[in-house]
Amino acid sequence: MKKSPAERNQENSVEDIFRSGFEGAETAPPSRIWENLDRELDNRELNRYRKQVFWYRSVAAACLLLLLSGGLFVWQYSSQTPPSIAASSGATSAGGNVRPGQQASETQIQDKSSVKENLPATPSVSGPLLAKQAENAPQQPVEGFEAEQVNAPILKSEASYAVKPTQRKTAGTAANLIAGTEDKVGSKALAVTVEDRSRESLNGKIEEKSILLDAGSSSAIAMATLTGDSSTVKQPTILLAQKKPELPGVPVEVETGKKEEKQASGLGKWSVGLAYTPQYAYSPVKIGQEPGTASSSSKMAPNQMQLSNQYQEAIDEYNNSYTPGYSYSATVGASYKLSDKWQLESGFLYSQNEATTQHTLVLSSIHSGAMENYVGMLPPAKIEPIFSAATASAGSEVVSISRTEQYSVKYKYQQVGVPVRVAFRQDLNKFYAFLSGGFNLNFLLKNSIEADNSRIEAVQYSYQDSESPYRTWQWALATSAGVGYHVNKKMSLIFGPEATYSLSPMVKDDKYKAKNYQVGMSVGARWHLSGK
Amino acid sequence: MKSAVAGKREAQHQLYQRYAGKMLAVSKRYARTDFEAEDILQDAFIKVFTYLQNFKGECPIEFWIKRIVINTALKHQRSNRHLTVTEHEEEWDEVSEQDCLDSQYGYEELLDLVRELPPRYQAVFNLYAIEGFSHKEIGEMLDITESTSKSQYSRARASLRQSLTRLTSQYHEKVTG
Repeated sequence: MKKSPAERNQENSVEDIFRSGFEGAETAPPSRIWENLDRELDNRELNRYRKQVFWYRSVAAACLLLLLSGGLFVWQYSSQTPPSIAASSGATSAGGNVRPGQQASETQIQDKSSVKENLPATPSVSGPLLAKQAENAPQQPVEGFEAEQVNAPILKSEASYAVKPTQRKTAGTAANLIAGTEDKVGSKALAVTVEDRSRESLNGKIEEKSILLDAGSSSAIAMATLTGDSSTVKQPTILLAQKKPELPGVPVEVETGKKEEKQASGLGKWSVGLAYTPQYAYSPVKIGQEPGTASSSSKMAPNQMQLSNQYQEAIDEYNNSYTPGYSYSATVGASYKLSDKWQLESGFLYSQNEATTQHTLVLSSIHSGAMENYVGMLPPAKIEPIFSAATASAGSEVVSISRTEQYSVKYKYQQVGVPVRVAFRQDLNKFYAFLSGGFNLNFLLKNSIEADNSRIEAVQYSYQDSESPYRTWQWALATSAGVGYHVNKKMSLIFGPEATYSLSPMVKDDKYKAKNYQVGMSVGARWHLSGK
Repeated sequence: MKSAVAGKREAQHQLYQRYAGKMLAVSKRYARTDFEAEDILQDAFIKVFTYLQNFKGECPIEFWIKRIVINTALKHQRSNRHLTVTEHEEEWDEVSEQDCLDSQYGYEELLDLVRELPPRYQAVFNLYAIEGFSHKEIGEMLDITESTSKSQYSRARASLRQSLTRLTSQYHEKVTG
C-alpha cells in the first residue's frame, strides 16, 4: 500500500529523531575501564615477552646442544684416530719441528724434510764418534778420492732402499776405500758424503736425506756402529737397509699418511668459529636543504624567514652532534681450507649500530587536526619536503619550531647478514697472523629512532614497512686482520681489527648518499674439526 | 599513532582518551545496561590496540574503532544469547497518522527507548537507522536474511514511534497539567 506524504514524513522523523539525538553523543567512561585496560595490556605484553624468552631459550638450548654434539663427535673422532698416526706424529715431532695447522700430508712431508734437516751431516751419525776421532787422529782427505764420486744416489725406490748397481758400485768403492783404511785407526779420515735419496710416492714428492759420513776409520766405525758389527764393513745398502728398522715409522707413515690425508681432506679442512666485534659505527644521514626547494630569502615573508633560519639551525644541530654509540656485531660461521694458507669463510652475522644526536629545537607540524612532532632528522625523506614547502610558500601546512631543554635522540639500526670472505693465514708456531677480505650482504631487521623528550614520538621501521626510507638490503665490503693463538690442536683464539664499508647507502633516496662504515676490534674463537 | 602501535602506554592512553567517550555512547546503544556497555568498550579497545598495526589508514580511525566496537557489541549479544528469535511477537497499537513526534529528545531518553526494544530489533535498528548499514550487510553481520532484517527493522521502528508518541504525550501532560 502506498504511504501518504504525512506517513512518509513520520517514518523519516523517527530515524531523524534518533539520529540527531545520538549524533556526537559522548559519555565519559569511568576510570576503572582504563585501569582494567592497562592491566590487560600489561598482561598481554608479559605473555608476549614470555613467548619471546621461550623462543630465545629454545634457540640457545638448540645451539648449545648442537655445539655439544659437535664437540662430542669431534672428541670421539679424535679418540678413534689409529695409534700409528700418533706414533709417527710422535716420531716426527721428536725428530723435527712440526708446524701446527697444516694438512696432515703436507705435514708429513714437512716432517720428513725436517727430519732431513734435523739430521745434521755429522752429529746424527757420527757426532760423538767424530769427537772421539778428533782426539785420536787428524782427519785428512784420501788422495785421489773425489768426494763427488760418492755423491750419488744410493737409494731409490718406494719405501725400500734398493740400490742402483752403479750407485752400489760407487758406494762400494767408497766402502772399499773406507774398508781399506779401517785398520788404520788414527789415519786420515776421508770425508765421504753419501747421499741417499728415498723416493716416495707420497704426492709425487721426492725427499732427500743427506747423511754425511766421515770416511776412514771414523766412518767405518760409524758404519760399523750403525750396522751393529764393528768388524765388518758392509755395503751402504746394508747400512741403509738396516736403517729401515731404525725408522720403523717411515714406511708406516707412507701408508697412514695416505689414510690420514683422506680423512683430513674431508673433515680436516673445516673449522667453525664465532666472533664478537664491538665497533665504532659511523652511519649518519646527512640532511640539508635542497637547492631550490626553499624560496630565496627575498621572496620569503619575515615569519617564513625566521622559520627557515630555525629549521637550518635544527639541521645543523643534527649534523654536528651525531655521535656513534656502542655498536657491535656477532658472527657465527665456518671456514674451509682452500690450501695451507688460504681459506674461505662464511656464516651469519648480526650487527647493531647505535648513535645519538643532541637537540634543543622541536619541529612540529599540524596535520589533519592532530599535532605530530618531528625531529629534524627523521625521517629525512619526509621531513625535508614538509619544511621546504612550509618555508617556500605562505598558507601551506602550519609548522612551528620551538626551543626546549636539550634532549637526545637515539638511533638503533639492527641487521643480519651473510659474510663471505677469503682469508690468508701465516703460521708462526703457536701464533698465526691472518688477513681477510670480502663482502657482507646485510638485511635490515629494524631501525628505531627514539627521543628522551615526551613531545617527540618514536619512530620504528622494519623490513616489512613499505614506507620505510631505509634500504632493506645492503652490500658492504669487509676486511679484517689480526693474530690467532692455538690454544690446542682443536681450538684457537683470534683477535684483531675489523672494518666494514657499505657499498650501498642506508636510505633509499639517493640524494642523501650516506654511506656508513664500521671499525671494530674482533675477538673470537675457532674450532678445527680435525684437530689440526 | 606510531607510538601507540609500538606499544607505548602513554600514546595508547591518549588514543583511548580521544575516542573512549564517543565509543561508550555507541556501545550503550547496543547494550542492555551501562555495565554491559563498559565491558563492550573495554573489550573493543583491547582489540583496537592489538590490531592497530594492521590499520592502514584507508578510512578515518574513528570509523575503524567504531566498527570494532559494534562488532564487539554484537558478539557480546550473541554470547549472552540475547539474539534469540522471539516466538511471540508483541502487538503494537496502530499509531494515528495525525500523531506528531517531538524531535527534541535527550540522549538518555532516546537510549532508554532503544533499550526497551528486544535485543535483535535493537541491533537491527542501530545498524540501519544510526550506522547506515544496508539490510544485506546487516543480514551478513547478524547471520539473518535480508528480508528478516527488513521486517525486524520495521517492527523496531514502529515500536519506537509508539514509544515516542507516548513520551510526547507524557511531556505535554506535564506541561499543560
